[in-house]
Amino acid sequence: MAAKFSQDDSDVVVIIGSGAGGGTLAHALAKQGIRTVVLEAGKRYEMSDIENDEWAMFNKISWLDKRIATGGWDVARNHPNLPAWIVKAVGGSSVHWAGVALRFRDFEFRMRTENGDIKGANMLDWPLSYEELEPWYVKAEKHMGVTGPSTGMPYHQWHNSFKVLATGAQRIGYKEIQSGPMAINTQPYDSRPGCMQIGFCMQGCRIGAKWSTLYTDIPRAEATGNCEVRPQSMALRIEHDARGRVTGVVYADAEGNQQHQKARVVCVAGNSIESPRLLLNSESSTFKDGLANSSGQVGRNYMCHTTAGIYAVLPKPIHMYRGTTCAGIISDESYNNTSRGFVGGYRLEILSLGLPFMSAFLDPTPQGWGRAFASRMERYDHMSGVWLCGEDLPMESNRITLHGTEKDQYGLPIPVVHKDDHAFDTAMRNHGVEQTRKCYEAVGATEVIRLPSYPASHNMGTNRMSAKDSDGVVNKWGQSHDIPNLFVSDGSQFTTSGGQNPTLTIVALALRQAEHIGALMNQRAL
Amino acid sequence: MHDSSPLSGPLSRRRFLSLSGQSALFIGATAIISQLIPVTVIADDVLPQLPAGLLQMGREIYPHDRLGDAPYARSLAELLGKHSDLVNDGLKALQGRARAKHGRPFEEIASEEDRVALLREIETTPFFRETRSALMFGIYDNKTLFPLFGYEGSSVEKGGYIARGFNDLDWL
Repeated sequence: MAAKFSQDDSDVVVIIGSGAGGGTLAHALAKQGIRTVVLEAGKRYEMSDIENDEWAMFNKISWLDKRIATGGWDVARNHPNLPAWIVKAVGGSSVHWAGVALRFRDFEFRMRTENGDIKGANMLDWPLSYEELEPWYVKAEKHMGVTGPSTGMPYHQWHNSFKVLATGAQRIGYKEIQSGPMAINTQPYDSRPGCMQIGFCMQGCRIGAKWSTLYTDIPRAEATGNCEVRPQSMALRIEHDARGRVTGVVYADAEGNQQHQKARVVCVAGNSIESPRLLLNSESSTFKDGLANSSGQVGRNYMCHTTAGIYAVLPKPIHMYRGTTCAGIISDESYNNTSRGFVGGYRLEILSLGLPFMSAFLDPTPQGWGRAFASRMERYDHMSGVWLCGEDLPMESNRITLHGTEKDQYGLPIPVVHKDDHAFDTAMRNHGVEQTRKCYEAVGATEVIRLPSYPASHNMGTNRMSAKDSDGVVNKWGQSHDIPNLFVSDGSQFTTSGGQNPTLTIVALALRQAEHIGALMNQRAL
Repeated sequence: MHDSSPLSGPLSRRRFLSLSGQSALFIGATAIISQLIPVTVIADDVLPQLPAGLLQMGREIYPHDRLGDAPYARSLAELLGKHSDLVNDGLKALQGRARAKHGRPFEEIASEEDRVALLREIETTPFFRETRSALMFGIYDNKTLFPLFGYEGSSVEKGGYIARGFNDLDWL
């Protein structure tokens, strides 16, 4: 039976969010004997609730509370009420993520030093280096079960769609062509089976081959007796005392009634829209600009990667839906090669969509219908496609703010997600699309279709790490510059986006933060 | 199989039957038969009634000539049930534009290009967008039609694709 802690227990660590950051942190703290209460806004689903059905799962687990997208990005135009495609459920976005488990490259921690001050960008070095994080990457890879040297698990066999892309890539001279690293077992590992190439990775892995806190860290944390997870508990406000230290969290329970949990430490891990929103909504007479916001950077520097979708129609069938959604990565362009006209790197990642999602995303503009569209849909089984994932420059004006008038069901202002592209983002996107086109044309594609960006699956930067208090929200441990017992534990900590998927780095940071919080608590510094 | 004339089909068949006094019997028999035989088999006999022009509009939005009317008609009927004012008003406006430009109802405009041009003019309206959305789900999130597009749907219950062709491509 899982533990239950009193709402008046002021000795617990309260973690907001149960995903890659919050779930990992809860487990790592629980193993040290530190008691945690995890407040998760979403419901708890079981593995048996996972279905191989794109829309059914989208409707079941996505964060669908009202949000508004503004700015020049494709998403504001095509998906104005769905800026982000992330999860509201126990396990957070680790339930639906595709499992790509790439590390940052070393230069990505020092983009300011490498590239100088870039006009129009709010570029900053991380206050930690690749070398400092490297042992935590190894721990994270073992923890999650990532294919490659840390676990010894082989990379996935290439599925049909990746074979097509890889052949084209080879023909145009690319060399870094791999089906990983993935946090999806290729053999039984960690009491979870190997991948069966089910093909619905992003709808939740029905067999648990893909790592998710839902069926690893969360139940294991609970099994220690040191962790209580409260689903359907929406954090509304973090409270503080006269000394400026956080004292607890006000949250709404499943019935919508306000509850209060006292806390010794609060760790915010609600993903990069809700985390800054919570801090902003926690404003008080002492902290008029929101909690932890002396820098003014809470909510700012929103990054979601420079992205695009590209689908090619080939002369013969491929059946791209057979097998993993994303186990196919080309990394030749992931270095800081500024001769291309932009800074930072990008990855080309195979991406399979099912028929239902293809109909929604192939052309979501008002013009996406008619005979040309329908003809493309009839070629669905001849398609192979790529998702571009690249460095996205931080800009102060790209930010999460609170809507001036519109409120949610709890009476709190809804979030507005504003994003414009930097010129370098546009240049990178065009370069990546063109390179992908060349890959597919080299294998005989009869048509190459460019898709606008999907709602953002990767959301970062809105409570960024910085060396100086004035440049960011948290220090190298994710600890607030302003409030020593307040931490940020999700991707909103990221100072730069890097040119790859964020989850492995979020997990590495959470494992490292857990050790640090434990040390501070032992010293009674928290 | 798809009958390209929008004026034939169940609407006129039912009308004929009611005129000849046989409708009650036919409909009754149909209801019994529909419980014994999967609906997809006798789909064309139980198409819902739709206001004139709506089915044709649906077939212009996602034209798949191999598809019968049934998936279009069912999606549109469901849409009508949810948004009857929006759809009826929108359709009325579309019919007004059709008559003004071509002197005839939308569904009687002979050229596909002309019908599509009229729809392009209204593609950002709430009526068009709701109709398009309803059909997007009704055609492409429709398990009975998956095989026509070469999509196999749910796979975990069949053991995934690890032994069912995930890497069998041989034409490169």
